[in-house]
Amino acid sequence: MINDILQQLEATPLAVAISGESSLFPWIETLHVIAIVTVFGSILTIDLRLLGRSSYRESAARMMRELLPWTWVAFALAVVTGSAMFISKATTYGMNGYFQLKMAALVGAGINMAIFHLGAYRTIDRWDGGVAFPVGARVAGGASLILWAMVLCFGRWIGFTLSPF
Amino acid sequence: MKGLGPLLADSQLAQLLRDTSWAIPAVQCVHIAAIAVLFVSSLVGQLRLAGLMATDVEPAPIGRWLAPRVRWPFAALLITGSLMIISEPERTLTNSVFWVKMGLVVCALALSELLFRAAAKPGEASQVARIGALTVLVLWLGAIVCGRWIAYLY
Repeated sequence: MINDILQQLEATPLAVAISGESSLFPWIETLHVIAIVTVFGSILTIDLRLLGRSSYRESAARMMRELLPWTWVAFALAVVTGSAMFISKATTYGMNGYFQLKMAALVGAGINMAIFHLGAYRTIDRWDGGVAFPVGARVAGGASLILWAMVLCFGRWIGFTLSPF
Repeated sequence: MKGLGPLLADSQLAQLLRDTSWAIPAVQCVHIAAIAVLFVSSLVGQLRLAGLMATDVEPAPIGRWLAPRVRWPFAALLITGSLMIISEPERTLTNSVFWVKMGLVVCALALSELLFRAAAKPGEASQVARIGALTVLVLWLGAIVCGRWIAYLY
């Protein structure tokens, strides 16, 4: 069932064009790299602040307002370019263990973000700029750092193992 | 350079890197993470120096914040980059995209260091420094693009 969908994806003209001999795939991958370094770097900057390290400004809330628009635009670009690379070899990537781990880590990062926004973030006006951030904020920062590092590493590993392991 | 390649490729370290299946992917992960820190820190810091972001923060503390966030990742990039060269010298040393990348990196780093000094002076950055700040970002972007293309143009 899933395999049928992946095979159909792979057969679309767009997927055939990307997997072809042109320089389309390298350019898409280049954009993907620019997108992921922006996503990872901006999230890491916020995470380290949540963990209590000093940054270019004191307020974590202001940092988030300043940096997260960059994160989201870059994330959208990463999803578009990532999907384009995925469909070019949909059946291979779909079965790839590192690809599956990467998607799981992405879901984990999303859940962690949701917990933070429904939890510690709601009272950020009270604790932002204080001496120590609440446990909820520090745990969210640490978990985010680990999960996004996993996304990055699993992603890089996909390129080295284009077969199931 | 052509003589250096085989010498590096035959070294024990190069053989170890090639024989350990996870070594190069792991080195590349550290490389990309270091690029992320350097690039986003530069994005924030240089856009601030250009007067386009976080303008309520003074340039001097921004410069002091940015400098170690360029220098430390750069050190990590030198080490991980060298390991990649040693494992597969022919992929880089005879590759013109690699040398274009090195040129861009040297320019970006030198311009960054000049701007750290400019930021330390009181007041806003000069018009020239603002243009320099935006140029640094273009140079780093160019280096990232060339870095990815090393794998395709050799």
